[in-house]
Amino acid sequence: MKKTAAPPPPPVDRKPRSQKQLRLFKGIALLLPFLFLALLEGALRLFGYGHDLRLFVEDSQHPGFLVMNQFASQKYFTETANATFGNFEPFRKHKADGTLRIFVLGESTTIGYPYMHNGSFHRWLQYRLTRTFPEKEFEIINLALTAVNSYTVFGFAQELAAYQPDAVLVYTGHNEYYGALGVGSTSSIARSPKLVRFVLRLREYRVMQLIGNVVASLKRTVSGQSPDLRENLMKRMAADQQIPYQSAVYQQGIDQFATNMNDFFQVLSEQNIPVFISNLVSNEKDLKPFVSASGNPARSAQAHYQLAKTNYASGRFKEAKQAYVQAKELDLLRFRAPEAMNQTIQALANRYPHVTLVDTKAYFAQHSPHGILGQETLLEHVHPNLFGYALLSDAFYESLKKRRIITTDGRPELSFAQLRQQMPITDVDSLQGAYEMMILREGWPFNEPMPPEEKRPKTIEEQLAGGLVVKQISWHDAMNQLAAHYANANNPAKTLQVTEALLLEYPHDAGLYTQAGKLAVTLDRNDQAVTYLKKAFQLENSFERAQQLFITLLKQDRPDEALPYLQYASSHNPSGFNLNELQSFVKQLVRIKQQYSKDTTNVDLSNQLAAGYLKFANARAATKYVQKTLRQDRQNPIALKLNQQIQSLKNQ
Amino acid sequence: MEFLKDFWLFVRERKRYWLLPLFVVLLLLGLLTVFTTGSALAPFIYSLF
Repeated sequence: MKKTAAPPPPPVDRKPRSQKQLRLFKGIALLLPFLFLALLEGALRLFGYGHDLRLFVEDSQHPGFLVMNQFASQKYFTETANATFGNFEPFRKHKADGTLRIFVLGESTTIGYPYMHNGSFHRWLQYRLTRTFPEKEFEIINLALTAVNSYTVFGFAQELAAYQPDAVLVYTGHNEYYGALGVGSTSSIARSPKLVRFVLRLREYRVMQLIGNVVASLKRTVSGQSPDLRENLMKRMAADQQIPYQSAVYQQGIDQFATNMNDFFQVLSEQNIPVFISNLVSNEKDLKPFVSASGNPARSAQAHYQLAKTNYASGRFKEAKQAYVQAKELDLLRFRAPEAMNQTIQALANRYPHVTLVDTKAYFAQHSPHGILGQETLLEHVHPNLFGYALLSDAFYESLKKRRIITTDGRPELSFAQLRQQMPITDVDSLQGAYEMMILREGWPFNEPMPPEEKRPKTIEEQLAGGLVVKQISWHDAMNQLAAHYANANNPAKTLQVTEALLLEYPHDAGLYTQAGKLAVTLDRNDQAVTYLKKAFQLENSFERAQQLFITLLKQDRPDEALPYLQYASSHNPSGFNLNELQSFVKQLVRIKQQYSKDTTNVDLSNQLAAGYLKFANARAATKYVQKTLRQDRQNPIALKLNQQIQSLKNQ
Repeated sequence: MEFLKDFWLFVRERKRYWLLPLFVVLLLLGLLTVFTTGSALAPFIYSLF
C-alpha cells in the first residue's frame, strides 16, 4: 500500500487573550532576563566560578585574624590578570581593648614603591609608634595598591567602618589620569563617576565577572599576541594619551577625584572616623617634562622648564619654583598630579570636621633646597626615596599627635633623627629600590640607559636584592638568608636589624620577638630587649621567655616587673631548678626598693640592695647602688667592700 | 548590525517577542563592560605607579 502523508493537524481554536493575560505574559517576559541572570549567578556560585571581592577575608594562616582579600583589587581592573596585589597584614577579627587600629589607603607611593615592605611610610610610622609606646598595641594595615586611584579608595572606605578603625590615613591623587579607571585609560562614556561606580557594584556578581572575562579574552584574540606589542603600544601611547592642561579630559580627572574623595570623606565622617589625608608631592626640579607641546612657548612645558633652570642657576629661586611647577602643569603626560588635586584636597579637608590635611608638601619643601622639590626627597616623578618616606611618616605622625589620636603626654618619643637612624631598612631593601629604579628609568617614558655593570664580585646584599627584583626569591627568604649571613659573620647589630625588619612584616611572630630580644641583650640594649621579650611572652607564654625576661629585668634593677615572670617561670619550670629562693629574694628587693624610693639618702638601704643583687652575681645593678652609697658617704666601709666584690666578680 | 537585523526578523517571524527583554538586558550588560574597559595601553603603564 502506498503510504500517504499524514494530514496536517486541524488548526487549534485559540481563544483571544484577555487584556489581563496579555499584561501578565508581558510582565513575565520582562522578568525573564532577571530570572535567567539569577539562575546563572546561582549556578556560577555553585560551581565556584569567579571570586568573592569583599575587602577582608579570614586569614587561613592565623585563626581569629582577618586579612585583605587578594581578589579585592580585581573589581577595579577590567582584565583581572592586570590586577595588582597589596600587602597582606593580618589584624584581629575582634579588636582588643586599647589597640589603636589604623587603615592606610592609596596608591603606589602609599605602599612604598619601589621599596615596598618596610620602605613604606606606614612601616616607618609603625616602628616609631611601637618604639615610643612599647606597651600599646598598634594595628596599622596598609590597603594601598599600585595603579589604582580614588575609585578604589572610595570603594574600600565603604567597607571599613565595620572594622572599627581609630583613624584612616590617605595618600592618593597621582593616578586619576592613567591608573585603573583613570580618565586617560577609559573611553569617554566611562568617565562618569556614577556610571563607573554602578559597573563596579555589578562586578561583584559572578555573571558580570563572566561577561568581563569573555570580553577580555575576545579583546586578546582580536589584538593578537605580537611579540613587539609592548613597544608599539608605548609609541602609540605618547600620542594617544596626551592630556593638555585645562582640557576637557584634564578637568574630568579633577572632577572624578573631587567626586570620589568628597563621597569618601562623607562615608567616613558619617561614622565619625577621623581621616588624615596628605597633599601630594611631585618632582619639580629634577625631572624634565615627559611630553611638551610644540609651538606656543606659553603652553610649552619644556620652555617653562628651561626658564626655571635659568632662574635657578641665577639664584632667582622664587621665579624658578613657579616655572618648575608650571612646567609640571603643562606636561602633556599626566603622571604627576596637577596642583588642582592639592587644591581639591585642601577644600574638601576644610569642609569636613573629621578630616585633617597632612601637609606633606611643606615637610618636603622644608627639606629641599630653596623649597623646590627634587632628588633630595624623590626618586623620579612622584615616588619618594627612603628619606622622603621617612618625611611622609613624620608628617602623618605629627598630625596624629595634633588631633590627639596618639598622646605622648611628656613621655620620651623616638625623634625623627632617631627614627632615621634606627629604622630597620636593610641594605637589601635599599638596593632593591635602587635596582627597581634603574629598570624603570631604562624604559619609556624615561629612556635613560642603565649604568654599566661593575666588574667585581657581588656582595651578598647585592645578590639578594638582585634576586628580589627578578622575583627569584621572596622578601621573607631574602631576609632570612641575610640574617643567617650576619649571624655567621658574628654581627649581632646587623642580625638584629634584619630581625626587626622581619618583625615589622610579621608582628604576630613570637619567635622573632624572642630572637630580637636575645640579640638586644647581646648588644646591651636592655630596654629594647625587655620590650621584645615582653611582646614574645604576651604572644606565647613559655618558661624560656619568662626566664629571659626576669633575668634582663633584674639586670636593669626592675625587680617589681621581674616578679610576675619569675612566678610564671617557677610554676612552669621544666628543669626542676628551684626558683623559690630567687623569688623570695626578689620580693625582698621589691620591699627594700619601695622603702628606698621614700628615703634615697639612706645608705643602709642602698647597701642592702647592692648586697642583694650581688648575691645573685648581678654586678650591674649592684654597682648602681654601691655608687649611690658612695655618693652619700665616700668612705662607707660596707659599700667599699661590696665594690671590691663587684670588681673581683667582673675580673672572673 | 547584520546580526541585530537577523535577530529582529527571527523574533518577528517566530513571534518570540518574549526574548526581547532578555536580549536587551544582556546587550546592555555587555556594552557596559566594553565601555568601561580600560584602554589596551593602560596595563603597560600600571608598572609606573
